[in-house]
Amino acid sequence: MKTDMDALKILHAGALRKPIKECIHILWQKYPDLKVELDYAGSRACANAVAQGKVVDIIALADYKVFNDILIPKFVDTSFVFATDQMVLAFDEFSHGSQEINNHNWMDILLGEGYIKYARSDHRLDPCGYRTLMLWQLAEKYYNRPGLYNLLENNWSNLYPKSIDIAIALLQGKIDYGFEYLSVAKQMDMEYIQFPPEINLSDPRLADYYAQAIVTVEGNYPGLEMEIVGAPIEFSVAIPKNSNQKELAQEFINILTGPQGEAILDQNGLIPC
Amino acid sequence: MATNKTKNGTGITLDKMIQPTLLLLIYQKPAHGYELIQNFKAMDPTEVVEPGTIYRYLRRMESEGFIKSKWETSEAGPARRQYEITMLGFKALKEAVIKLEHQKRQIEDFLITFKEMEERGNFSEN
Repeated sequence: MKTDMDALKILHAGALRKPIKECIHILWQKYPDLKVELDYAGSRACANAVAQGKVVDIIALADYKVFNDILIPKFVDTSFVFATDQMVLAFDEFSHGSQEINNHNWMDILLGEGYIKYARSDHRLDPCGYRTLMLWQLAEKYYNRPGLYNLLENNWSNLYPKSIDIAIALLQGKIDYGFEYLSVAKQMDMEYIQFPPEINLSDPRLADYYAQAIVTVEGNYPGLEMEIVGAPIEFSVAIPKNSNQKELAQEFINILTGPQGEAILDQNGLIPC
Repeated sequence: MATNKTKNGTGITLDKMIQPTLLLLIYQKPAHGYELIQNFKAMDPTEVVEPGTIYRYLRRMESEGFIKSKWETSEAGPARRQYEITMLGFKALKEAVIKLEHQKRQIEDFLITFKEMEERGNFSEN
């Protein structure tokens, strides 16, 4: 893709698409002629792109640990936590079993009928993917259902690169259910099942409990694997060291993390923090 | 709202304690929201307040001038917004303490009256 040297380049997790766009509109009030290039992917895919040479001015991801694992200290000094969220099971009124499903029987509905399609995002590319695997591990313990994790992992129908793709697939009727962020489900006006705090990765008081869940992904070097430990969901933003627009990038981050950004995040189902 | 329902349905509202509790925690030590949520549980394990509620209280308290925040970078983790109490916040905390002391006396009077009546045999459980 051809890039404009003067444009503000923002690379972000797909789940942040809507709030990021709304914050740009606030920046445009001050700089109406400012060119902005927006790109998005799963957070790990975003970080790997920067590590492989992609030049951006702002990078906003769904997990600060992705910064720590892939970008700090070589490409980024530090990241700033700005929002939290929780995992939910999203669906719509046309999803098979939508009349029966609730927060007690969701796993039985998903696994009970062969024709029900449920999806997760790819844990190698997207935090929503490894958070889904963590949720399944924690659900096995929480509901005392030995083997639940393997059953859920062996029976999903679709795997997507990022969480926003799950929401789109739901809208298109390609799947019945998707493990998704609450914010995305709200932004897309979907129905959703809320999970108990013990498994939805939302509560810092349960950080030690979440840490029982571990997902293995590819490491930074070929052949190396690394473990991602369960933790409360925290979205984070940073200015890469090679940004060409550091002052402008900081202005954008000030909007995102200031009162106007907080209102936008709130309206989009995220919890500013 | 955090409400503790007793077995027989009497509600005891605790939501008015959220702001003074946060002010006290921040007065003890400047802290970020994540840490405040963890410590909030430690002060009253029976009270369940959702993390989102605490974050919203913090934002509102900052906009009202009771606390102020700055980015604090930890050695290993990310930068988080750290809150410290302002003079206005300290005054609000002292005001809350005066009100709580008044309420404490009212609660003590309530309990003494109840126990005296109970000892006199004014109540009988059917």
